[in-house]
Amino acid sequence: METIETKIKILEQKRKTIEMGGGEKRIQKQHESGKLTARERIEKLLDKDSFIEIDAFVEHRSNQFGMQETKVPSEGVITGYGTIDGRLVFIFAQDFTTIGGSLGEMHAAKICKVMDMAAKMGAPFIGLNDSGGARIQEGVDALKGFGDIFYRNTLSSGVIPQLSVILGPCAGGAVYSPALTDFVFMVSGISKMFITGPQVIKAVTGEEVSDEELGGAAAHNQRSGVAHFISQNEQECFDQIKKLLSYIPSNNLEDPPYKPTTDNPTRTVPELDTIVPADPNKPYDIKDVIKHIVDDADFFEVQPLYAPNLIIGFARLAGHSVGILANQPKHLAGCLDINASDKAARFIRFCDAFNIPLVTFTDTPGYLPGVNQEHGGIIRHGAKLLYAYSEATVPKLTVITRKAYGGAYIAMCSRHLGADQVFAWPTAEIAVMGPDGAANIIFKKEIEASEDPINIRKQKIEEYRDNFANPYQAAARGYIDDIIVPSTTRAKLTSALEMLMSKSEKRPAKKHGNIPV
Amino acid sequence: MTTIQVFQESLKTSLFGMCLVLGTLYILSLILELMRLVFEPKTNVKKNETALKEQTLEQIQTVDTTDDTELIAVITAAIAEYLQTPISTLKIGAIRQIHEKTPIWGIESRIYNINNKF
Repeated sequence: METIETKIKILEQKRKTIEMGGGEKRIQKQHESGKLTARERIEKLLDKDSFIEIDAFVEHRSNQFGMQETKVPSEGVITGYGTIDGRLVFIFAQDFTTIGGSLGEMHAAKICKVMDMAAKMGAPFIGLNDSGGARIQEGVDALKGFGDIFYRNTLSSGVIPQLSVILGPCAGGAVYSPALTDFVFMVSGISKMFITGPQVIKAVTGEEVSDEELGGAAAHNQRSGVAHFISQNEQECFDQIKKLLSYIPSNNLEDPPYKPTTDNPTRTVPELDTIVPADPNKPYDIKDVIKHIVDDADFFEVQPLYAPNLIIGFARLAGHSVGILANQPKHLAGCLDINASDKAARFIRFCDAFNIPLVTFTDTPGYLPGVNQEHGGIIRHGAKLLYAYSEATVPKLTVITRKAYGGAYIAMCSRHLGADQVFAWPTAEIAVMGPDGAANIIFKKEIEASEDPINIRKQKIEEYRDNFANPYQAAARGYIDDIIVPSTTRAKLTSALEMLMSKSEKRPAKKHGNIPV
Repeated sequence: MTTIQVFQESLKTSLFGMCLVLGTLYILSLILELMRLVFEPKTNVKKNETALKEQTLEQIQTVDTTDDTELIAVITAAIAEYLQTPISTLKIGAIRQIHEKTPIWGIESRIYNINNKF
C-alpha cells in the first residue's frame, strides 16, 4: 500500500511532467523561433506568483488515428486565473510545444471553463493564442469546441472585457474567437492570422502571398483593422495589455479605474489658442490637442495604424478614464470614410458597454467622396457611427475645433445625437457645407451673370464664411452649449465630466437594436 | 344698630376676609415652595442636561470649524510634500469633493439599461 508521502511524490512528478509541456527540445525550438512558452508568457503578464492553474490534469479522450497513445500535457492549453496590477483576470495560454497547441474537445472545454468563471466573477478574460488550429484527429469534436468558445465569446461580449493576444499562428476557424473579442494584440514577426493560408490561396486563386503579408501583425493593424495593437516583442505586448486594463473596468457594472492625478483639472493650456492654423485648409495634428488636454499628456491610442483619419484611444481627465475620438486633419483632411466609421462605431460601443465616458473632437469636412466609398457602402458603414453615438448612454462631450460640415457634423457626436455638452472653439465652422460648395450653389446665378466670375465667387465664399461658417449660428440655436477659449478646454471638459457623473439616461426596453452591420 | 355701628361691623368683616385670603395665599405659597424643594433635584438635572447639550453643540460647532482648518492644513501639507514644494508657495483656492465613483443615480439607469436588453 502506498504511503501518503509516496502519493505526494507521484503527484509532484506528474505535475512536473505536465509543466514541462512538449519537452525540452520543443521548448528550445519555441525559443529559437523567437517565442516564449505558454507558462513563461503567463508569468510575464500576470503579477508575480499570482497565477493559479486549474485543470492541469485534463486529458483528451480521442482514440482515433493513434491518439490513444499520444499524451498531451495540459491538453495543449494552460488555464487559470491571477491578477494584473492587483485585479483579477482569467487567462488561457495555448502551448505550441504540445502537438502544436491544437484545439481538441478537452482543450476547448478547459478554455470554456475559464470563460464561464470569468463571466461569473465579472473579471476580464485574456486569451494567449498560439495554435496550429483544430486537432484534425478529433474531427467534429474539435469543431464543437470552437463553437462552444464562440458562443461564450458572444455571451460575454459587453459583460466582461475580452482580450485576444496572437502570439503565433491562429488560422482557420480559430480566428473567429479573437474577432469576437474586444481587443486583439499582435506581435511583429510571430503573429499570424488568416482564414485560409497562402498555400490554399495559391491553389484556389493563384495569388502568391507570404504568410506575413497575408496575416501578419502589420497587415491586420494597417489594412484589415482586425487587430488593435502591434508590438515589436512579447514583453511590449504584455505592457500594452496592462496599460489597456488600467483604463477599463472589470465588468459592465463597475466604474472604470479612477487614478488620482496631480495634473490640475482646471489647468489652462495657452498652446491651444494658437494650435489651429488660420488657413482652414492647413492641417494640424489633433493628437497634439488631445495630449495638451488630458491628464499628464498621456494618451493611449487604439488602432493607431488603421484609418488614421480618425483617432481613437483612452486617456484620463481629472483621474477619470475617458474614451477619446477625434478627426485627424493630417490624414484625408479628417474626412469620415468606411474604415473610420467602423473603427469609431466599435470603439464607442465598447466604451458605452463599459461605462467609459466619451470625448469627441470634431474637425471634419464631411464624408469622403468617391465611387469606391459609395460602392463600398459608406452609407451603411457611416450609419454605424450615427447608431453607436445615439445608442450610447455614457456621458458624451464634444469639442468642435474647426470644421463640422453637413452629415459629418451630425455624426461626430452632435447635440442632435445626444451629446450632453457641446463646446466649440471660436475657430469652429459649423454649417451645412463648406463655404466653397455653398457659395457655388447659393450664388450660382449671381456668379454666372457676373463679368468677373472668379472674383465674385471669391467674394461670395468669403461672405458665406463670415456669415455662416462660424460657431455663432449653431450657438444661437442652442445646438452648442458654449463657445470657449481653446486654452480653457481642459477646465471645461473636466468640469462637465464631473457634472455628468450622475447622468441617468434610459433607453426603451428591447431585445436588441439592429445596427447596420 | 346705628349707621356707624353697621359701618364698623362691615369694616371688620372686610378686614377679616382680606386677612383670610392673604393667609390662604401665604399657605399656598408655602406649599408651592415645599413642592419646589421636593422636585428641585430633577429640575437641576434637566437644567444640567440642557446646559450640557448646548455645550456639546457649541463644542461640535467649534470642532467643525477647527476640523476644516485642520483639513486644509493637512491637505496643504500633503500637497506640499507630494510636490516637494514649500507650503508658502501653495495657495488653496477651494477644496471640493470629487466623484471617484458613479453616484447611485447614475448606477440605477446603468442597471436599468442592462436589464432591458438582450
